[in-house]
Amino acid sequence: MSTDEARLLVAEVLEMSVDEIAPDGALGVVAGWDSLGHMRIVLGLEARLNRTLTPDEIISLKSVADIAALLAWHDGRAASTQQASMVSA
Amino acid sequence: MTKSWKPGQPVILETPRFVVRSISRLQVAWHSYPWTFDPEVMHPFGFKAGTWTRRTWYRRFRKPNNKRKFCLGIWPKGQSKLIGYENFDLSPHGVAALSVLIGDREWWGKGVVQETRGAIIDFLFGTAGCVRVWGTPSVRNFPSIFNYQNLGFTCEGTLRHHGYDPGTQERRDFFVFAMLRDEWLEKRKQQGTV
Repeated sequence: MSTDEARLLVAEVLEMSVDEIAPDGALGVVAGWDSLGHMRIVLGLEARLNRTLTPDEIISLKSVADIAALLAWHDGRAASTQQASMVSA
Repeated sequence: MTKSWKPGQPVILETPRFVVRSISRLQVAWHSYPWTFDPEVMHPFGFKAGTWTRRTWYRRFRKPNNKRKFCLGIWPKGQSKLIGYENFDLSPHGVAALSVLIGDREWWGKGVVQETRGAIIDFLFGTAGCVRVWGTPSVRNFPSIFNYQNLGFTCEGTLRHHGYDPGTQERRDFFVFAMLRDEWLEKRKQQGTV
């Protein structure tokens, strides 16, 4: 589930327990999600997605829910691409 | 806060942890020069690290006049070591363009910009007659983006290929963040600070 994955990603890069990252956590609210924490989250997300985020994506990342939405969108897109390649093969 | 400030006079602001006050061109260039060797400090501003002399670094700064051009140094209370500075230009129509540099790595991630910029914005809207403040961080300057977003600035758009990143040697897009006076006063009202 993307929300859990988002919480895990945030917890890992901020070196915190997942239990400390609430599903409704957000920038400036989660302890450790400060200016450097934000940098770690964006870079962690780019590593997870294996690509550079677009400016629109960067600006949208204000909460755990935003990260979950991006992960869900990315995974859905990856799945549909994989499905399309199987159909054409 | 400098409530009785008049144009041309030095600005002196105080926050719980910091003193923020007008600094001369020579002072800021002298004290910030060691930071010019740090790529992580310089690259977000499009500057190469390790290529500056004291003279070229000094010449990069415009002379602040405390009327339209301001440079405020940031010092932790009780300490004499400068940790960063904030520049802003004030247009005749009440628009202030902000930029900040925290060069002392020991203070990164410790809320310096949140605290000091809050005081500066209070000054700009409350004393200097501003109606809008804005800034343009690189889209890869994530700490700066955090600071604008966490202070409640609105991202108004993207300046495509507006700058250059010496680290990657690529053109960079920049965001436009802005805050209007009424928005800031409303935010302060909700925080119970006005």
